[in-house]
Amino acid sequence: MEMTPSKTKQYIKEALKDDHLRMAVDKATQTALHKREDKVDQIPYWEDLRFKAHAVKQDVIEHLDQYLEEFEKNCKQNGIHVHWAADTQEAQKIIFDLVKEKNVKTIVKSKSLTTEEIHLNKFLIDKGIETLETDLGEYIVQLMGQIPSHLTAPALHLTRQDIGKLFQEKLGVEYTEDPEELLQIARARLRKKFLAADMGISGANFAIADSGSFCVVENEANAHLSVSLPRIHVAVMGIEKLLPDKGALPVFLKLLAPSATGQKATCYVNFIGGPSSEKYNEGPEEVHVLLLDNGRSKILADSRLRETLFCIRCGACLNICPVYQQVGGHAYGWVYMGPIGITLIPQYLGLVEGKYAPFASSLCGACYEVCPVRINIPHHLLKLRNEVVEAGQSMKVEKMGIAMWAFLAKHPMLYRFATWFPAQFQKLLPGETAFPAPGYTKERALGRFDPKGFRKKLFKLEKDSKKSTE
Amino acid sequence: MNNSRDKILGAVKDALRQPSHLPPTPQGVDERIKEGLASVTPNDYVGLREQFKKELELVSGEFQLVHSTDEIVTAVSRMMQESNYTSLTIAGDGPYDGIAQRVTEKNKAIQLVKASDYQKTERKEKLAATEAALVDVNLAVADVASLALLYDDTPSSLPHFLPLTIFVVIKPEQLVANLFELFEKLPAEKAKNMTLITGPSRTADVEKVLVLGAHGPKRLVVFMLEEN
Repeated sequence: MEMTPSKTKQYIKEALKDDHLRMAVDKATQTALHKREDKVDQIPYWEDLRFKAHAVKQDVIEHLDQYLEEFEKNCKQNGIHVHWAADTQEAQKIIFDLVKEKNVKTIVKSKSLTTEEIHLNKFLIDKGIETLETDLGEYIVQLMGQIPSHLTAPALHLTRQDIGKLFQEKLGVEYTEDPEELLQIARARLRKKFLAADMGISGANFAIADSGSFCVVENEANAHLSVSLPRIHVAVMGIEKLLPDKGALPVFLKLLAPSATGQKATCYVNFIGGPSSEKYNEGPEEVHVLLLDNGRSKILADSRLRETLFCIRCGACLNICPVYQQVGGHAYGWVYMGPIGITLIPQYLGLVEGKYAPFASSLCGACYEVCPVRINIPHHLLKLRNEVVEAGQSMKVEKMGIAMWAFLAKHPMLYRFATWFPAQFQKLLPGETAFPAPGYTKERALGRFDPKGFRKKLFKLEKDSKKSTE
Repeated sequence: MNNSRDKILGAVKDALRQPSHLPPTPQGVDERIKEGLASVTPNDYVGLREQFKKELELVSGEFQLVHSTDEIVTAVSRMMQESNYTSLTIAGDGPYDGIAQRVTEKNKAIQLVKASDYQKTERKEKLAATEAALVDVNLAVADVASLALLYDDTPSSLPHFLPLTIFVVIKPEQLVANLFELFEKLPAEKAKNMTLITGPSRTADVEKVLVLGAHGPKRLVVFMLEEN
């Protein structure tokens, strides 16, 4: 399913009508939030971990050139092949050249947002290479022909009944909605694929500059099997994924698990520091790391927005976001969604394609409160909104509204009338009915104007306050 | 390829000419993390062991305190019989291979599969078909119940991941308090190739319902061997 952030208004309208979707998203996000809160409460130094992680990321991002060169040098010493890709096309080409050169027929993949970003599955499948997602949630959305709807829980928008019907239809198995049985169906099919695959592809949660290794964090053991069973392993990572050394890992591992899945620790943290076939007689014969720019250096160039590159893709900001909770991940029209997604969309895709994204927020600040690396998302959204307006990409109705408000604000009498009139006119409406607002009130309720008005209330408050002090 | 490398590094260097606008990090963060860690870390071995046990059970792992290898032989034999398992794998050349051998000697129906006896392709096929494994790890982390497995120190890591049930034997001296201590203790060279394992494999991808045994083990039993 081809999606684009430029159609986000349409996706939001559709999502708001879909009670089934909203129920699924609400259940999943509330569960994740409660589990997160429980784990965070057990770490009395949580806030200091967040400050520490921010400081580490700041150091890495502001010396990124040095860390990248150090990482490359150490990878090569470990026998890892390092590739650099400026954009999606180049990344796809590098991987496909490898596939051809190494005579790869089957690929098993573990969950990687970076590979979603470069549409790798579709590209390889179109080239005739069997490419299978192996994380259960990713496997489900791949069978569904969709993209993930959450950074860490790809099938969060689907109910067990949806998945049962999907497996029945696509895999030809008897209908079941039992999560245990659904998993067993996927496990049995994918185990065979793991054993037969020529290439494993993963992302990298963190890459360690001073050791030339990287780690993949997961719960299902699918990432481990994707690394250890095929003869070639490829890790696709954004250039911002670096950490200076292993000393930073406890900080990030302690922050990531509660923020992402509400766990104290994820089930597996796999460290890959080179081809292991010769050394251990198992594992990959070749390990390749693909360092992807794809717009990241452009983000880096804006010193006010470069903090958005600190993101560790935990998804905590999605779970807490009142907008995400209502519309789910597909409404954003891209691989990165929710609060962090709407900061990244206009930066990666430009202000025309991403003009709606920064406005899909209430600016309540909850995302900043839960972000494990303290990215000030609301602040960045304001900056991006400003950029959209400056670029002339804001909506006409918004421009008219602001122009009208500016005019009234300069004419106090007219302003008073404009704020007094709706409350009086509202009296003509029957019962407790609010003003009809075509479009807006289709999916939401508009409140009634207070007949007393703000000015009257304020004057009364001031008067009462004076009396009480006298 | 070199063109893109130079292009990307050049763009990064250019971008970094813009000064940062980020606020400075507050003072004393490292000290407060240390204090916070100390406040939740038990101050003796028994406390750490109980913390490890509690955390392991919270992630659906099983903990057994034993005082001899005989106890492990008895417990593994019983669990193998209860599950009707007929194969037990070991990595080979491990410190507890003898325990597995005694289990199979005691139960003739159970076949012992030594991973290091097989070459690469045959090994993964063979191990994927075995039901249980008896393995060792390098270190165990009390505050999150993680087990650290360094590939440099085992002839095969696959027994830890392919069978349905994993029996792990650890000793008191292998227990560390937390991830900070773990990464301090791990030699940099060995830490490049390792896995931290915390409980049996799992997924909650269907309606956030937790199901064990995703693509790896479904059951993880840790024996803490306290000999005298």
